[in-house]
Amino acid sequence: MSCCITILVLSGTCFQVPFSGTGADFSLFNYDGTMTARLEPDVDSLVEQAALGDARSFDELVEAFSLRLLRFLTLTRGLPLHRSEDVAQEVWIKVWKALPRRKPGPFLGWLLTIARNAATDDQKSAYHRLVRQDTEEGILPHVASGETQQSHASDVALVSERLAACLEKLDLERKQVIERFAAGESQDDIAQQLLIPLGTVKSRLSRGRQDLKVCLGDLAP
Amino acid sequence: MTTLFLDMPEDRNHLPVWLERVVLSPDLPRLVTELKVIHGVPAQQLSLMDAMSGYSQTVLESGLVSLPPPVLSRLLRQPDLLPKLRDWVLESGGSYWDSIEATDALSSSTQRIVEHVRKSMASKTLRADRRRSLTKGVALFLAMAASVAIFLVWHRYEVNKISQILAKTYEDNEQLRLDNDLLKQRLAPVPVPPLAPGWGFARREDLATLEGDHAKLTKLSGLALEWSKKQPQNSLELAKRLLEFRQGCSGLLLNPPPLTKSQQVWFAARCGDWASSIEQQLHALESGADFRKTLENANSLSVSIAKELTDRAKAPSNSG
Repeated sequence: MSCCITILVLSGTCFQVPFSGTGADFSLFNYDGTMTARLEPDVDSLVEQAALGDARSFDELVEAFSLRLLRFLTLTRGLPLHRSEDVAQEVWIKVWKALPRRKPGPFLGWLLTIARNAATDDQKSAYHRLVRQDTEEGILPHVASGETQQSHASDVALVSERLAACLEKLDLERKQVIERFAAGESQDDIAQQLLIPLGTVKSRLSRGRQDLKVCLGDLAP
Repeated sequence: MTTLFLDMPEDRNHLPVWLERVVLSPDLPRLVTELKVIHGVPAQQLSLMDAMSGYSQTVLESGLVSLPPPVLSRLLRQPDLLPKLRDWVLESGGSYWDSIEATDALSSSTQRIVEHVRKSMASKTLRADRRRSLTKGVALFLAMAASVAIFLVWHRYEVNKISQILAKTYEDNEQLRLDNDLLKQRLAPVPVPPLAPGWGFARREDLATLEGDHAKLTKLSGLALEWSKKQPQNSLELAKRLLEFRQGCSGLLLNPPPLTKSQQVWFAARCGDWASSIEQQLHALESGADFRKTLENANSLSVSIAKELTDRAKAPSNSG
């Protein structure tokens, strides 16, 4: 249950400020409990204040956008988590310095452009570091890191190969249900589409999954 | 490594939430590979927007739960769309997508970033850096202004010299008079194109009657704000408005407003920047950018120009 501070105001409206781990949610309630307005943190005004040098507003921006930034760097730019963390810190420092010169436009787009460039720079310098290390020390660390990637790729290839083989072996009726299940169809819909009773769908799905698990062995969840 | 699709919840009400978590996790490539094995190559390759058929805005705001089951099914049957969906929600999604539970490693990493930045800010190094960077910016601006001033003086001197030579030649040789006339024409000021009458920077005629930079900059600020008062209803109207806005800037660049020299130099530099921002917006609109978004950007540009001019007018050297 969230903890609330309620501030009564003479005008007949009360402000309720619930606190949670992720931040405050500012809403305006009337006495009868109906909500009259909801005030979400205004990114534009935080950006404007931060550009004028307000460290508190900047802190709020960092808190609000760091998870997004980290996901962007790891998932779309392919940086490992520890590198993404370093790059994200550098990005925020660049953002703080560049804020006063920022041209008008959506903040998130601007932030991610800086992040994209920083990730590219990081990848380039990591590559140069490895090449230098290779030349100076005569070792091939990039081969090692390449091996990790290669082993991940071969794991994925193994799973997909084994899955394809197991699906081939699967009884056709069960396979039909499994395919529709993997496409997000509900059991009711599958029953309607295949013109079979719901109970039959349930049993084919359950047995089909069981067959796959047995066939996949240690690759099954 | 184990298969992922077998973890899909049987209760389809839970499927959107499960899929959102996978989409925002490093496991997504695995799921995509498995779904490709199961469904094969789709008969018809849809784009992400076509696959979501009109639900894109609600997906950005409220997540996959807002998708009807057939649309969600379309995404799972064409799994190559899932990484595109991920990139799109990360770049454009609302706060809903930030509320999706992160892995422990990601949460701790996020916390460390916040704390690190907080520490850096507390150490005041960063604040000092920004002051240094501002000072550097001012120094660069002054250096550029000085270079422009030197060039202008040199240019005027050269023009005078050329004019004198031409005048002498004119007396000596009748034949050269024609060339002289031609050169004079080339050296004549660029004719200012007529501006669309009516509003914005085009209504600058009152500026000459005002006294002092403060009054003139305030007037210009008011004129800039006029651009956001007239709200176009479609892309064509917006393009027309942006063109008029751009033309207003041209007018002020080619025929500078009657400000003192230092203000004119500042104004010309800023006006050039505004003109390129307007051009970018026009280009974006012509390349198919969203009308509402571009309109929002145009309005915010107009407001920021007005604010910049007001701030300049209020600067101590002008407020008197």
